[in-house]
Amino acid sequence: MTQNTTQEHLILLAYGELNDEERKMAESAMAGNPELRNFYQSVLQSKQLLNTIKENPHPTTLSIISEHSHDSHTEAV
Amino acid sequence: MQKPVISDGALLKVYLEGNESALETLIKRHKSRIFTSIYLLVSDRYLAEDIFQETFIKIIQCLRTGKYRDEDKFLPWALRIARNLSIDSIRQRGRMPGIVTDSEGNDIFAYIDIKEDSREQIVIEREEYASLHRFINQLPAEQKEVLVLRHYADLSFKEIAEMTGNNINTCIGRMHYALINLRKMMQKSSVEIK
Repeated sequence: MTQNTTQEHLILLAYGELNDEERKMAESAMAGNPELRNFYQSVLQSKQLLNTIKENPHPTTLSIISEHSHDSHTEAV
Repeated sequence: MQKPVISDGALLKVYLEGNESALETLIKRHKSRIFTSIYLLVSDRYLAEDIFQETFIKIIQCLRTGKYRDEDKFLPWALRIARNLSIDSIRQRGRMPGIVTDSEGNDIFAYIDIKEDSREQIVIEREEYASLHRFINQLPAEQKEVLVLRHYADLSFKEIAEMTGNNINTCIGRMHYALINLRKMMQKSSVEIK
C-alpha cells in the first residue's frame, strides 16, 4: 500500500479500520509525503470538531419507552 | 477495580427473562449514538424524539415476539431500525431537512449540556455548534448519511455498506467527499478548527 496509499486509506486509518500492516504502511507513506500527512491531520481535526455534537433524548421520551416496555411485559405475562 | 461490562447480548437475555432494568442499561449505553444519528438525519428535535421512541417500541416488540436473535449485533440492528424510520419520515415530509430547528422554534441549546464558561465563550460555542449542524445538513444526502453512520453511530464502513446496500468503496468515497466538503465550509466560515 506504500505506493498506493490514498486519502481514503487515511480516512480508514483515522477511524481505526486498518489492520496493523496496513496502518504501518499508511504511516510510512505519510512520513514521506507532506500532502498525505496534512490530509490526515485535517481528518483528525474534523473528527475532533464533529465530536462536539452529542445529543440525548429528553427524559420524558425515555420514560415513555420504559412504560411501554413494562406494559408489554405485563401483557405478555 | 473496574466493573466487568455486561454485553448487549447478556442484557437482552435478562431483559427477556423479565428484568426491566436491563433495557434501561442498554438504552443508557446507546442512547447518545442513536439519538444523535437520528437528530442529524432528520434535523428536528421533536421528530427525533418521536423516532427514537418508535425505534425502541419496535425493538421491544421484536424482542418480545422472538423476531430478533442476533444478540451480539444489537447496536447495528437498532441503528438500522432508526435509520429506516428516519428515512421514512424524511420521505413523508417530501424533502430533505434543512437547517436545524426544533419544530416549535425553541432554542435547541436548551437541551445541550454546555460546560460553564464565560458568556462570550458560550455564545461562540453555540455559534460554532449551530454552524457545524448547518454544514452537516448542507451535505448531499448520501454523504451526510455515511458521515452520520460512521462518525456518530460508530458503524464500520462494512456495516454501513450492508445497511445501505452500497459498495464499501462507495461508502468510503462518500465519507471522503463529506469530510472535504465540511472542511471547505468550515474554512469559508469562521468556525475554529482546534
